[in-house]
Amino acid sequence: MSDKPDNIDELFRANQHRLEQAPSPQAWKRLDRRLSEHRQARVRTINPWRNWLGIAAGLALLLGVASVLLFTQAPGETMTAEAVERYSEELQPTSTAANYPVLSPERDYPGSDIREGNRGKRLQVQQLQATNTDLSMAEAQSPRFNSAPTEIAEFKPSNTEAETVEEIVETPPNSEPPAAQEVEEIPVTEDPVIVAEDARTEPPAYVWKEEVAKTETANQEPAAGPSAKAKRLESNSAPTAIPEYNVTLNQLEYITEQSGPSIDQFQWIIGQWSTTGQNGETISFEEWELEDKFTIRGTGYLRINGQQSLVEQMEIKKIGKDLYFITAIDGSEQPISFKLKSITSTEAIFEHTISNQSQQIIIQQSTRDNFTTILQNEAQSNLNNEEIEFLRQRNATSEERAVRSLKRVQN
Amino acid sequence: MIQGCKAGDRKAQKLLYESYSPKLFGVVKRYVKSPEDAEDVLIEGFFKVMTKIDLYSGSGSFMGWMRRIMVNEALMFLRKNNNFNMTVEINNNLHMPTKVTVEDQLAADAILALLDKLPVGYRTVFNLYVLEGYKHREIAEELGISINTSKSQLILARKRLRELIQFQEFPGVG
Repeated sequence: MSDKPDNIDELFRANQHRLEQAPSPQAWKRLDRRLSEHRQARVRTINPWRNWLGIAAGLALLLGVASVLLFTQAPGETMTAEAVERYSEELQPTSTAANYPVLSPERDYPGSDIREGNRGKRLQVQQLQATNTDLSMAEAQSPRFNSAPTEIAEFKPSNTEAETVEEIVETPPNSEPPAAQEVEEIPVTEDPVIVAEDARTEPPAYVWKEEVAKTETANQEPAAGPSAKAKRLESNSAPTAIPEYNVTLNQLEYITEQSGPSIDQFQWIIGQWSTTGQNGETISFEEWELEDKFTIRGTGYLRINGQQSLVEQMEIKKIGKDLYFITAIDGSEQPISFKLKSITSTEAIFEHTISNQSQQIIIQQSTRDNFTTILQNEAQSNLNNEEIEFLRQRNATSEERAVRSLKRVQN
Repeated sequence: MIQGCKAGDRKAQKLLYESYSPKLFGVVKRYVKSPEDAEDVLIEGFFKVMTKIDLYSGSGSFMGWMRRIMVNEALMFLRKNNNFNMTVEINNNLHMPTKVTVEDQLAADAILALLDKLPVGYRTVFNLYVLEGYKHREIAEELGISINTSKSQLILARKRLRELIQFQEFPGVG
């Protein structure tokens, strides 16, 4: 027995660093929010007179903007019949079917050449240019691409502001598939607004969750008397007129969009995944969630001795016309962007090249509940030590490549 | 980084947070039992660090300054939820263990488990005195207790820790 306090004190002093642990990823978000609120509050309270000045300035600005709008909006509201005709002409198909672009509001495809019109004006459609050589090669090789008919439909959106999926033209399940270039018209009641929409357009991002749940239904042939909801779902994801649109949502699927690949193709990854050790214990897990329409964010955690630590932040992100896989691969927290190079129904290859050395992240999907990520260097070059050390924690690693296999966590 | 934080640059703030949060979270966890509460305290502490960074004079270690803020934040949390004068020894019938060897290493969860088993008063005094280097007078002021209470709680904390180490049969320890 020791009466000296030093022993126990020293034991704790020497080991206190072992308690170091990164807080949860939500912690920074909360702090970030608090700091933003604080900054706003400080601006408001620095000078009370500034509030009044601000209000006065705001009113003056509002007045100015309102008057400008009044003048500029007026011609649009009273569009002449000739103008309507001219804009309608622009929507007429003028070339062969396969050349038609995917049409969608610009907000879904930033960087594309589609302009979203105001109410009372028109959506102008321009021919899009395929820019990515690799992807356009893939398009040419895709049998779906060669046979894809194109449909342009004019229709009037509902009176609500939001352009919901219900706006997509529904084709009765038992009707004949329209021929290529067919233009379908919906009767217009008041103040017609023409919106061009390609029926092959992917469903908007905000309906994914529902669709993931309903995938099985959506992929089946339409039943004899589909319910209203089923019918709507069908129109979202699989209009009968365009068989090529019948996408298996849980597969990596390349859809011939000239505005480039979409993160929709990775929606299957949303959810929780884990890797397990030999004894079935969870070694690491990943959680992927939809952050916004252009970003799926993944967070990788490692679990050692019951302690959980954050190891990797990943993103699959649409930037311009390209899709990127963004992550730090050596734990340095310096994110590296891997650009999508090619994609098939089971494999997506993202590549990052620096001074003729390229590194690839390959995502392979074997079944809907399993996928593997592979990090490898092209040709002879090897992974460097930091990368190997970082990835060693995550799973099997050799000198050339690091492989991590994940299984979906069933809820 | 500190200059960036003084200017309110969010990138610098994030860098600061990412550099120091694991260490400071380790500090807070010694005081606050529940991980959720510990994270709340950490966030509040960092908020103070970033909004009061102008008060950091530049003399002395920045880490030490932040650590002190975190400890104060943790104490504020504890004061809200505990009365340090009310903390009593419940079980003093355990045998005193044999000598604790300092060479031995304790795993992180073992350290936390041991500290968590101490009554709040013991734990806080032990943390402040042994790991933060406070004097009994400072502890007494911080916690609103007498110097003698602080001293006796430290002795009882050490005693209890020895018992726990022996009781839990940490190999080679105790």
